[in-house]
Amino acid sequence: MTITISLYGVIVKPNIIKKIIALTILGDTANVLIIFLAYRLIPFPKPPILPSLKPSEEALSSFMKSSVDPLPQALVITAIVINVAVIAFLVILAIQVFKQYHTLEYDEIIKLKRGEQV
Amino acid sequence: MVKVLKILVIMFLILIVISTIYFVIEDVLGGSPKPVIRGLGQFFLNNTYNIYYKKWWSGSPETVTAILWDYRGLDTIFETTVLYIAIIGCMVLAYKPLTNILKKYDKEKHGLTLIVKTAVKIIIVLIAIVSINLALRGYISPGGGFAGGSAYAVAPLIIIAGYSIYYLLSMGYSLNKSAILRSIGLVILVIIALAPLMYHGYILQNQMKTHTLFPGYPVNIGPFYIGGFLIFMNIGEFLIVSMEFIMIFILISLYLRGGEES
Repeated sequence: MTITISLYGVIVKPNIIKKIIALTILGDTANVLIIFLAYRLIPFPKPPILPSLKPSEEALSSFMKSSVDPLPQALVITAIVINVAVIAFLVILAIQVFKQYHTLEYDEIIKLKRGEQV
Repeated sequence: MVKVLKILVIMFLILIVISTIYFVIEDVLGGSPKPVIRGLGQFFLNNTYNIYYKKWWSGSPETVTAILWDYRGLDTIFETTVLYIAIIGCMVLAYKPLTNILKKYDKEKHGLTLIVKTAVKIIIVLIAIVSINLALRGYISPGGGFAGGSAYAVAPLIIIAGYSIYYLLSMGYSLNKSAILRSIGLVILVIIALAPLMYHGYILQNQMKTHTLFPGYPVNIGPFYIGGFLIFMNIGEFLIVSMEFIMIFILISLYLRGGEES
């Protein structure tokens, strides 16, 4: 549902800042979805961290049986940082556009590019 | 033309709604979250800190950090490269030489009220402590270089909001210092990644493997547990991520200031 809303924002909204906000919502939704795929459907699943530095064999096997999937979490933690960097780049581009045209509405920018009056 | 485009967009969105609902229903009726996880995740859980069978172990009880730097280390290195290139793009677009910028700082004119300023003073100390703790203990507890760096970069951000960008620059943060510290972090990553090659290992090798001669990074130094190379990688990544975020914030706020004055 949130994916739909954010895609609607990216495609339909005419304002560039609103497009960027919708893009952040899209990225966060995808991350939450990936974390959701890692969930384990048992009562009281544990985080993928061993609680002691000298575990016994029973502790290791119960850790294997009760912990959630660690791989999607490792993928998401880098994806968040990359997301922030890309958003910062887009924000700087948007500031550049505003300095050039003094508006952030997409239709008006196209009209100004053609040389018409708004 | 515009009408056709709008109809196409609406049809596309309806398709996405239907597929999302289908996905959720399939998940609920025995789809993705199961009592048993995938084989790859099971492999990582089994081998990360298996002190009885050390063929594939990584020497860290924190499985996520072990995957991030040991099993999928090259992936993380290239993620760092993407971050680096994004910052270079921001610098190219928005860089301006800073001359006499500190003279513009007026204590009365810039910033919010005294209450906000006092709260900011207290909070930035807490943020710094928590983020450094996250980064340094990332190999035994949740956290790591990425999380710690992102948390640390919040402190300059709220200084910019509470005081102003000029106060941040007068505190000693600057683009050049951030770039130097970022480069130190990158050098740490490169040295740690390439060091096993000199001892007939492979790139980003952490622990001893049967098919190479490299004995592996030490898991303990004296009484302290350091988890192989994970602590050095976390320190390097902490420097890179925090300093690059600080560079982004300084660039954007200075760029906006320039727009106001002209």
